Formats: sequence, structure tokens, C-alpha cells
Amino acid sequence: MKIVVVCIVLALSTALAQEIEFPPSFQKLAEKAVESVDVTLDGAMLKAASKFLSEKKTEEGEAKKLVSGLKAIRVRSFKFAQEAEYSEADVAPIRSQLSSSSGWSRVVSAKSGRENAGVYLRKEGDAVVGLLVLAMEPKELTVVNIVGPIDLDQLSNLGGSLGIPRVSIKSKEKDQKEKDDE
Amino acid sequence: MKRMEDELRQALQRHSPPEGFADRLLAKAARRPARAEGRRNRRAFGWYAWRWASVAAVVLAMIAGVRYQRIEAARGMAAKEQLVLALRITAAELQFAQEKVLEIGREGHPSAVAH
Repeated sequence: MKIVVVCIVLALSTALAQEIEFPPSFQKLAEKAVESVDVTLDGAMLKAASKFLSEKKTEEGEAKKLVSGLKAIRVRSFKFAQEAEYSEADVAPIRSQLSSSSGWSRVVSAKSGRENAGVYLRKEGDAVVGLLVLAMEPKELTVVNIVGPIDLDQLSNLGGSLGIPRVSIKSKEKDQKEKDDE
Repeated sequence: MKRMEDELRQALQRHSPPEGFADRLLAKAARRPARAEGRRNRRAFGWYAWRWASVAAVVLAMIAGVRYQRIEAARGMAAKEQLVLALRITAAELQFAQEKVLEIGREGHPSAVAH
């Protein structure tokens, strides 16, 4: 019985660790923004959405495959009329949840001037089970949190369809294959 | 012995019914079919009521089912739109991060890290 309880607690804590808690200040940012996007899709919503993705259409089939194992997708994006409408303090609560002790690792970090981009992954073994993208521009702030097993190759395959821009994400296997081909 | 015979004879003696007995009996007999008919009518009405109620229940269930399907479809379509929007933003931001890394890499800036 104790083992079952411990397993449940561990499973819950793992799931919660993948899910990033957005700070309350985001509510105020949404009020200040000229454009704001707030997408929260939990497991049930993702299941409902995937029912409407046709497997016959290649691009929708790819999206369906990508979504099938996901537990949640959460997006917060704010576009402001002026610069400096948000500060580093607004994203600090997010950064504090991305410590290596909580299982997150930073894979990309780029900063130039007031532009800042960070990509964080949470892995279990070799599998990616959480993705967080933090993009800061002078008039724009976007945070994307995907919870659940994500195939980065599938995500990159989606580019160019459904209005999704092309992204070339290279997984280690893909990279190795390309090197072998050369 | 004689006394017992007398008692028996008295007990088995024919008695005429009380006055008006026949009329009352006939009146009661005449009332009975009406009551039975009423019961039959009530039973028939109950049967019809149940039949119509079950038909109405089936129709209501069908309407509710169609409505539920429509609501689910609308919810599913809205979820699909949100999903596509989320994937679009994710891809755009990953592209932004990638561009930043490449841009900084080209400039030889030290603050770009791609692990």
C-alpha cells in the first residue's frame, strides 16, 4: 500500500515538475498588452483536438502523432505597444522553476541586446518529456510549455504546414545519420 | 337428542331475505361493469401515457445526443484551432531562438549557447 502511495506521489510530482507555473504578474501583463495569447490545452482538450485532425491529411496526421502522447500545451504571449512594458522580474519566477535540480536543462540560450531566447528541455532517460521556450523581445514576451513526451523531429516535420513556420531541429540521431551519410 | 334436532331444524330453516335485498343486489351488479370499465379505461390511459412518455424520452435523448455531439464538435474544433495556434507560436519561437543563435554565432558574440 505504502509503495503504491509513494508511486502515485512520485508520478504526480514528475507530472507537476514538467508543468511550469505561470506567475500571477502575467495577468497584469495581459491587461497591458495590445495583443495577448493565452492557450491552455490539457490532456482532455488535446484528445478532443486530435479527434479533429485527419490522419488522411499528411500535415494533420503529423500533428496528431505529435499530440497523441502530450499531457498539456500552455502558451502565454504578449505583444506591447511600447518597449519595457515587462521586466526580467516578470519572468524570474519561471526561470527559478527551471533549475537543473528540478530536471530541466537549458539547451539553447541566446542573448543579443534586449532580445533573449531560451529553450529548456526536461528529459527522462533519452526521452524529452517537457519543453519550455522563453522568448523575450523589446515589445514581445512569449512562454511556451509543452508537457509530455515530445518528438522534436515530429515537431520540426510540422513546419511548413498548418501555417507553422519551418524549424530545423536536429536530434542526435538525425545528426549522426547526416554525418554517416557524408 | 330431541333438543339437538330442534336446534338443527331451526338453524336450517329457510329465511326470506330482508326487504329491498334484491333491489340492492341488482343495483350493485349494475354498478360493477361501469367501475370495471373505468378501471380498464384508466389502465389503457396509463398504458398510452407510458408509451408516449417513453417515445418522448427517446426523442429527448436523441435531441440531447445531437446537441451534445454538436457541443463536443464545437469544443473539438476550438481545441484544434488553439492547438494549431500553440504549435505555430512554438515553432515561431523555436525559429526565433535558432535565428538568434545563428546571428550571434555569425557575429562571434559569446552570449549564445547551444548545448
